[in-house]
Amino acid sequence: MLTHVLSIVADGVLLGLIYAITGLGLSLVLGVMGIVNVAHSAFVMLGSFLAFELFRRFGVDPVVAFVLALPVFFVLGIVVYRVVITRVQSAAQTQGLVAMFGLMVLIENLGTIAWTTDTRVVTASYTNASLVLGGVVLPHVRLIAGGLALLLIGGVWAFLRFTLTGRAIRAMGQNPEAARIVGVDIARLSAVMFGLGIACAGAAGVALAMVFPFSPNTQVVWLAWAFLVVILGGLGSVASTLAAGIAVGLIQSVCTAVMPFDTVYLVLYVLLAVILTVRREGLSRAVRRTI
Amino acid sequence: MSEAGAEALLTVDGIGKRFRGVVAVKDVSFTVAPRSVLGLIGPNGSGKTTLLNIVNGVLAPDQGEIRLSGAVTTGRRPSDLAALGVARTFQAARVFSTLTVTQNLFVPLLHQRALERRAAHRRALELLAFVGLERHADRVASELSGGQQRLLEFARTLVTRPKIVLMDEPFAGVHPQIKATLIRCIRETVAAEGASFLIVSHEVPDLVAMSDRMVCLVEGAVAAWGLPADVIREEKVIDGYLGRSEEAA
Repeated sequence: MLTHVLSIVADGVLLGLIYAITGLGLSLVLGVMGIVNVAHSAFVMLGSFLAFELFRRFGVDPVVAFVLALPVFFVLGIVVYRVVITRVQSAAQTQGLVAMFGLMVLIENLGTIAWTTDTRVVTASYTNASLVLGGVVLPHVRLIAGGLALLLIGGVWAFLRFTLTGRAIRAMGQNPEAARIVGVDIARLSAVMFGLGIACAGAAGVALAMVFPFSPNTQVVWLAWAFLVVILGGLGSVASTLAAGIAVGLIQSVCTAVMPFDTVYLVLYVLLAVILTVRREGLSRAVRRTI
Repeated sequence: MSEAGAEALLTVDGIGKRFRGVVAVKDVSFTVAPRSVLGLIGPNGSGKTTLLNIVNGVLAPDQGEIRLSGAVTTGRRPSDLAALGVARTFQAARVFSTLTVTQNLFVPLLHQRALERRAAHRRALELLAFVGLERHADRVASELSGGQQRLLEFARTLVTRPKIVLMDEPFAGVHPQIKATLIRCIRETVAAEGASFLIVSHEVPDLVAMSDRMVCLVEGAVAAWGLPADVIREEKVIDGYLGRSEEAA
């Protein structure tokens, strides 16, 4: 019985780490820049297909794809910032939202053209292997994906906490006007921040591809997961996003173990509704304006 | 309006600004000399803060020109102006609340070269001692009192050795001790570093005591400009802002 419980908890925590990085970029971009990036999950999906293509064509291990995804998606994020965000940032909130929604639809449709709606999997050499610790079964892919997610979360946390650019990003998030007046180039820093958010999305896509089957349409489900983490964790806090991701992973893991699979989503979204009603600022009590 | 023989650090030349047809500032001209303090007074709504916002690039004027050491800066972004040596404080101190006191001072160093940055790090720590916040170096800024936050904001403006610091109501609502510290720091910064200050304040006696020149705005226009003692005796300034004492009346 204890072994079973420990397995459920371990599974939930590992899944939660992946969910945490799925929501991390969304949370940071929304919390620091006030941009509701509904196209976030489309970049997650592109990350999954990056892992898929690298593995299928060149036999590149998903761990390597995870590392490669960071600079590739960072640059992609900066391009999207320059081409799309700068044009809608000062417009009405709805206009920005519609633009990001349009981008999401565009990427999903391009994905469907490129890869069809067939479900794909990335099957690495260790996909079916497991580590057994005192009777607790820990699948290698979940351990590796969870470990990579934890490293990324730690890296982002350290970047924001200990580097000058990271601190300036936090300053910009708290008071953009004051940051601008003390000499911070808000446009440049916003591009970096958005690039970082998209880099997290791409890396999350690789981690998700290691664990779950996916298709271009799956991104809508991942968007819901990402928002769930952001709403639960509040905005712009790496630690709260990590806690929220693990909470979602644990809830999913426990629900999957004790009730029919079909009802798991129902439980999660009822919980979400309750959280929004009782504590709309999330775990970190952080609320913020949006564009 | 400029003083003969003195090369101005900051020139405000014929500045005008309207908000939806309402004139906020009209044809305002004055200069700030290097290594000096200029006090800017006037009743509420006379356009003082609007003028500061124009000088540091937050607002664009409808007419006129701002020059810094002779170079036109009108229309430049606040971050560009900060790099050129224009610093600013606000009516309510705008510190970065979740950063520590020291980290607040490092934010303006973001776009500096590494060598300058190392020197500026040392300077940041010296500035904390200068404003009396060295004991609070590792505290999160939100834990400071309002007056201490104002000192922190002031120290932050000095990190990059600005040519001119624009201060909006620096003495409003602060403890007399904090006010005394601010006045001392402003005087010492002018004397030791050659920076200039443009200070908006309703604390007229303090401003008269510390300013080299004063400007009074009334209804968006310059009512008087010159030596502080002369400005506060101007009829337009008395009628439009200071009022007359009962004895005089």
